[in-house]
Amino acid sequence: MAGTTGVEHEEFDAIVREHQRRIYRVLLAILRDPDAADTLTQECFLRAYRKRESFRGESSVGTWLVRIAINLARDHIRSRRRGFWQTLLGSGESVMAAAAAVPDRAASPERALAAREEVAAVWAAVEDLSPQQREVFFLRFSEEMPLEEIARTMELQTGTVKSHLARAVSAIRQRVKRQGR
Amino acid sequence: MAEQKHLSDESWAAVLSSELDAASQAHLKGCETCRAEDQALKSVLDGARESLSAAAERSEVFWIRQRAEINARIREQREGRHRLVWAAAAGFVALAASLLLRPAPQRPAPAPAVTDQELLMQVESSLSREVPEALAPSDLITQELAEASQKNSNFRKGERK
Repeated sequence: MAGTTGVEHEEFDAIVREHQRRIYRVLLAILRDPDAADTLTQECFLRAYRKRESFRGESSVGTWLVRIAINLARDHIRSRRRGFWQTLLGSGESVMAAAAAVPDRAASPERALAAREEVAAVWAAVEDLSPQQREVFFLRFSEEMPLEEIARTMELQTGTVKSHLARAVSAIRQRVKRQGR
Repeated sequence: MAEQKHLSDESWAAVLSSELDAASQAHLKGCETCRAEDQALKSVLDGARESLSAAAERSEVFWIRQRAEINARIREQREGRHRLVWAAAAGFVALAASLLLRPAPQRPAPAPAVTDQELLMQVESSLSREVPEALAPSDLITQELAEASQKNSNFRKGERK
């Protein structure tokens, strides 16, 4: 990852190829905005390229990239806080659109509808979480990252990650239970 | 009271992270309510994960275009840096050239050197003078006054005769 020779540039291109989908997915999960996720995915790799000298290999390239992506997402949210909250508050449609993308694993249309509503309830619960809780939730349940890796990525204690996760799970349980009534 | 024995939020987070301790695992095995909730939660979270994956799915063209844009921006950045280096080098060369090609400043002509012999002669001449060089004008005035006084005295003597 050091230097700017052609071979290393090719090496970096391979890294982009390998991780771009994951970075885009993480950014989309946090931002809920496909255009912003696309722009910030590009920015993430550009920043990684600029800072490649500082990558010490203490964590995996994937963890390092996710950390950069999360920091970019936080900056983006901070700079466009009002727009972000407007998006969140008015995101009922996008949540339902995401929920509608659930593959039809249920036997009946009624069950399929119930499954969509449950997934929508999960998204609604996630949106009520704090940004850090939301990030922990996505990294654990969407990216299936181990707790220690999440802690390294977000520069938190593992205990803090666990408590964020417990809070997220509690919110989801309550929302799903309410949905089931 | 039975409610209290069910799994806590922390335990549920551990269940869903597959990091459950032995006691909670035993509880889950024996508690039908928690087992049902476990299944329901896992199913809902699987659905949420799948829905996010589906929402993040893009055509191959999207990923190729994204890579091309990243590469273009990296190339731009590298060329920009090269341009900056070249501009700095050109500036340095221009500065060096202007310093080297500038006409040398004219120095004042050195004072004529005085040999030791000439200096000794000047000192000797100063010592042999009756009046120091600096007082020469006053000496001249004194001489003129003396001559005038002499003339005046001679004139008076002539009148008396």
